[in-house]
Amino acid sequence: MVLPPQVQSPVNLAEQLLERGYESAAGQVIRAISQNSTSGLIAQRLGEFEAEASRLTEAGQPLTITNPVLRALLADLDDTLTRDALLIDSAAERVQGVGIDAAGQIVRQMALALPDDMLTFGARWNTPDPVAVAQAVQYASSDAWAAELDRYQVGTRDSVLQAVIRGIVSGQNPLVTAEEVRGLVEGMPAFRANNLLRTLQLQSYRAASTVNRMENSNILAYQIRIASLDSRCCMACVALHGTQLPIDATIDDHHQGRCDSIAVTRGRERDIQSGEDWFGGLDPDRQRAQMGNAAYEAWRRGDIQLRDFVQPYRDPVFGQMIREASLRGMLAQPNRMVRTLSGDILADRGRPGATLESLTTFVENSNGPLAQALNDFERPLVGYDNSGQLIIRRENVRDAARLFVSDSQKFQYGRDYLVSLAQQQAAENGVILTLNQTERLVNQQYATQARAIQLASNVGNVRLTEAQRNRLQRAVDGDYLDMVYLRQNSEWGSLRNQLRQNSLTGLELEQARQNYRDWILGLD
Amino acid sequence: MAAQIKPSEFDGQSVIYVDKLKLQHSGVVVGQSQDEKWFFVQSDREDTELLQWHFKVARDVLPGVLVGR
Repeated sequence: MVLPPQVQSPVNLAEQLLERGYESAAGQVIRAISQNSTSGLIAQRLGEFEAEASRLTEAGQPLTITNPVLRALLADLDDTLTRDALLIDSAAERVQGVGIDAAGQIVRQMALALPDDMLTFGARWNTPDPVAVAQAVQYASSDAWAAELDRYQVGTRDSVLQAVIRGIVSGQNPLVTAEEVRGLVEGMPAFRANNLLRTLQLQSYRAASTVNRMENSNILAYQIRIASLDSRCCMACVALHGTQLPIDATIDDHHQGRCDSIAVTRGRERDIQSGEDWFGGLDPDRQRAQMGNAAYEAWRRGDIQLRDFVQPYRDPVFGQMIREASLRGMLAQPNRMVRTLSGDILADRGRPGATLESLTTFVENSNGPLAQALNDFERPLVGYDNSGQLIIRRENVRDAARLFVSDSQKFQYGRDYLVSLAQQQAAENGVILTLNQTERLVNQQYATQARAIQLASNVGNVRLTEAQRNRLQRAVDGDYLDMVYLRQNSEWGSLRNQLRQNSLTGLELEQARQNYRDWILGLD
Repeated sequence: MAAQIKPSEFDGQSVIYVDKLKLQHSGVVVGQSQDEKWFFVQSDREDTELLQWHFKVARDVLPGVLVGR
């Protein structure tokens, strides 16, 4: 028996190939920069600064910005950083080169379905002109790169200075400040150098990959973006995983980003699981850990979607890049959309708060899902009195709470039925969802309705029964479907499951369906 | 074990209603529970998986969702 070769994920394969080149081109420089900050003159200056901090502490004197020992350390740090920047620059062309070389090798290896038979029947993998590739990848010789190296020096020094100033302003013990300074001086130069060179290599690789793909446009149909999908993967990259892109698109990523793409050959088109779907299938604890607490809660409520994490920006050296948006930034987006089963709608603006004043502001400024639930067409929970003041419609709030409970008690659904029905009706509204996404969206929409009722009852002091409060809270927590699902809606079971072993024609399936209905209707 | 369902006075009658998420549920009553508290409904959507029943409706709310009643 012939065993299949060990299969590696494409991202891992690319990472291994890139790692080898990076170590040879940049490893020595990074180590030298690290040594510059941890030995020789800088080590001596750090020791002197710590002794000075100790002396000041014992004397009960504060550290000042004009302290001569501190100034000597900063002056020598300046000189060291200038040398470090030259070291980085000396490695840049080579690092860029290994990125370019890796592209030629990896793009072909990662092209999906490019078997020997395809090459046998006339298809040929083209190698681009090295001059053309070099022209497309000129980061290290750009003015922006030189400016970046200036920022490397100034930025690193400023970080150290800021730590000192913060210590002085807050009256911090000089020994604590000295410890912070040591951490920054010893760690930051090498960290930032690695960040710059690694990003240079990866961006060079991506730009060169684009040239390689375009050279093979006769056999490549499109590319699929892939992320490493491990616990280190940022949410922007998770959101973009599985996206189809034209072959001439360069994969935008963040600094030190590990995303890549797989080129798909013509006639052998395929798809992969989306990042959103992958994330949706993770254990909730893992989701929370990867996304962060506050963002996870906002995502679960439906306030944000995975795609909101993708924040494009323009880097002066590397051009178009993306980064993970902050929760605050996401929520502040003026035209942010949220997905519903009826289509995408504008997200809520602002927060409703817990008072009539804050709720008034919210209702008047927002037309998102929560505001719409408060202004429900059939049974609005809020309204206006004759003087134009917002009021809570107490009777409607009571009715809404009662119906919310009775609906979940008096109509119960088979899980597969309800989710597939929601999925189909969403598709009719142009919202294409997987089953996992559908389930989450149904829970989110019920959570929004429950929040609206909770909010109106709290602001309007409308008393609800304990059962109502409990059920509303469960829905707010995203557990609505667990309340109304029936885990086993047919003891007879699924016809399709029973007949799964057999391959039925459409006519046979229709006959089986009819027999089944007859059997059910004839039960006695 | 199909004995869970027994015939009801509404068997064969159509049911339709729209829930709070504006999902439309429609189907045919195919029986009731042994304690006669629930009516079982089989969806009439062609694209739903064929099951003995898909959802159930409590006796006191059924009249409100029967078609033509």
